[in-house]
Amino acid sequence: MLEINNYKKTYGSITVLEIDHLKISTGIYWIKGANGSGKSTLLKTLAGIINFDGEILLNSSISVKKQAVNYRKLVNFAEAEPVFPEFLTGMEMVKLFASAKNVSVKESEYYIESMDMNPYMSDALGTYSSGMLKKLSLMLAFLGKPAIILLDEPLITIDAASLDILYEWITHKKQQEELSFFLSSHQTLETKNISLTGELLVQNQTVNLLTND
Amino acid sequence: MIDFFKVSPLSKVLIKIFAKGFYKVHAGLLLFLFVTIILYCFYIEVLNQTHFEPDVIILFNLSFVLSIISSPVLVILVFAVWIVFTIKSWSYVSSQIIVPENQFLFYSSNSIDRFSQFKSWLLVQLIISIPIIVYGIFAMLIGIAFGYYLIPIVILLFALFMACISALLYMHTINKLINPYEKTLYLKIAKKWKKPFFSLFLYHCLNNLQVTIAVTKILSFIIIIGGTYILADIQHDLRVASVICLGIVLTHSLLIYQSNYFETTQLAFSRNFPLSCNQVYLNHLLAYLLLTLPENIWMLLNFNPFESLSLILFSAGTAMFFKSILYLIRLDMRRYLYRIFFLFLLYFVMIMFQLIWVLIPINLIISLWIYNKKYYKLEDL
Repeated sequence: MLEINNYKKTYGSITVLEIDHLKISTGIYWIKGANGSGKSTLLKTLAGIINFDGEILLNSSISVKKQAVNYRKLVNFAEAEPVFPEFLTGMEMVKLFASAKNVSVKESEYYIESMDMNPYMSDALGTYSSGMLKKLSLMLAFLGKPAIILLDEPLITIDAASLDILYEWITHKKQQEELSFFLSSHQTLETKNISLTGELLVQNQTVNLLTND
Repeated sequence: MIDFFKVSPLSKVLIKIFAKGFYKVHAGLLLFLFVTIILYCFYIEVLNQTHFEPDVIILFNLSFVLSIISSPVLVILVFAVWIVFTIKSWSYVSSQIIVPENQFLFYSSNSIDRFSQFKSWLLVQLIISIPIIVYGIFAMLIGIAFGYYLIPIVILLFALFMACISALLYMHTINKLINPYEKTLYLKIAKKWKKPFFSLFLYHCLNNLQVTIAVTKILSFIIIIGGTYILADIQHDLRVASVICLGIVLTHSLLIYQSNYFETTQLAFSRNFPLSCNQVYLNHLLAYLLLTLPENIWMLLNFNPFESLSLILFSAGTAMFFKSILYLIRLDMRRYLYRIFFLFLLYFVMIMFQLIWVLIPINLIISLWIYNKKYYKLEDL
């Protein structure tokens, strides 16, 4: 359960997003909106990494501002265009995330194998293509036992076969654990592959929840 | 003929990306050299110099200026600094050529004829070398006025030679096929080493900022050796060591800026890690202590445990304060430098009044407070 109250995000004097009140139950959500509508801004604030006015509560009690460390323990985020230090290897990134989120490195094995990432996990990230970096970034967001996984533009950069595997990961994770997914995309999600709970439409500097009920 | 001197669109783009970028990144170092060396050499006034007549003072300054163009030893020293400066510019331009946002140059600029490319890159290097060229022109004017012609001509020919070599090097880089990432010697050695979060900037220095770190360490040790040599008669006064520490932090101010740049550009993902502001602070503090490990060892070897620990705390605390300023003003080099220089002067005066004991806790408390207020409150990434 995610609750957003009196949310306002501005850049200088320009208001990018404003949400009076929004309550989102556990599920899989597609964050829709045109380029520049504020999808990434919304995801970054939900990830607890940029400042905003207002309040965001997880499970009615964990505030992104007041219990920031606990909040970030429960929210994983994959950027639209990930940038990592080029001298680290894929496996070193996994170890870094596993240590920060206090999870076992072994958890990554399923994702590495299913996405066929083994051949390059020991290589420096500077040698990775943008698709390989994107897969790594998505995989890192699945580690641990988060309450929310935020995926910014997961459809871009990766090939169709990898996209099918990503849908499998989402379904698999959702079956095993009680958690929410927020996937932003300006492209249409293949709803036959995952069962969407609803859509968050980002337009006119606000967000509207459209449920499938 | 007019076309020859016309600034081509390629030149404009290259100047904007590389020459302006170079000054933006190295403004701290250049300003430091300017303030500490040039102003010191030309404008320093010795206390109680009333016994010097104005004529003597002018003669002293003139003899210093003339030694720049008449003493081969000094000229060789200047050439050495010059070569280091040029290598620094090569390092910067080469690293910037391959960043993703500049890779368009590999499929646009190299379709222009070689001579035009050479002219554009030469112009870029000449602009980067302005501090050296100004010095060359200055030496030439002095040389003409006092009848020393050889060394000023050698200086100018050397400047032109270095600029041409640099232009050819850049042209070669941009015209060869891209190798997106080459493993450095460090990567081969450190492949199996653990890389915890606090150590990432240190690895980044070894991998990407070798020249910056080498120049910083050379300057840092010049300050240590110079400081202890010049002030040998009073070197057991803790104020001397404190001023040296302040100088060490100042030489590291560029690396401190680079650490924030690295965090913003390549470690943005870590803002989602469940680390408290205090934990992040300790990580950064540990990284700085390791970055200045040789300087810290010097302090431990030259002072008693209490004094050396105080000096290390003062140095690390000041560095953390400098770093925390960047969370208030973001990556704005100009504003950062103003604040650093203001603090340098303020701290210098406070040290003279033996207020280092006040500065140690103030540095740590204020920097930690800024971390708690600002680290997770960035407006955007």
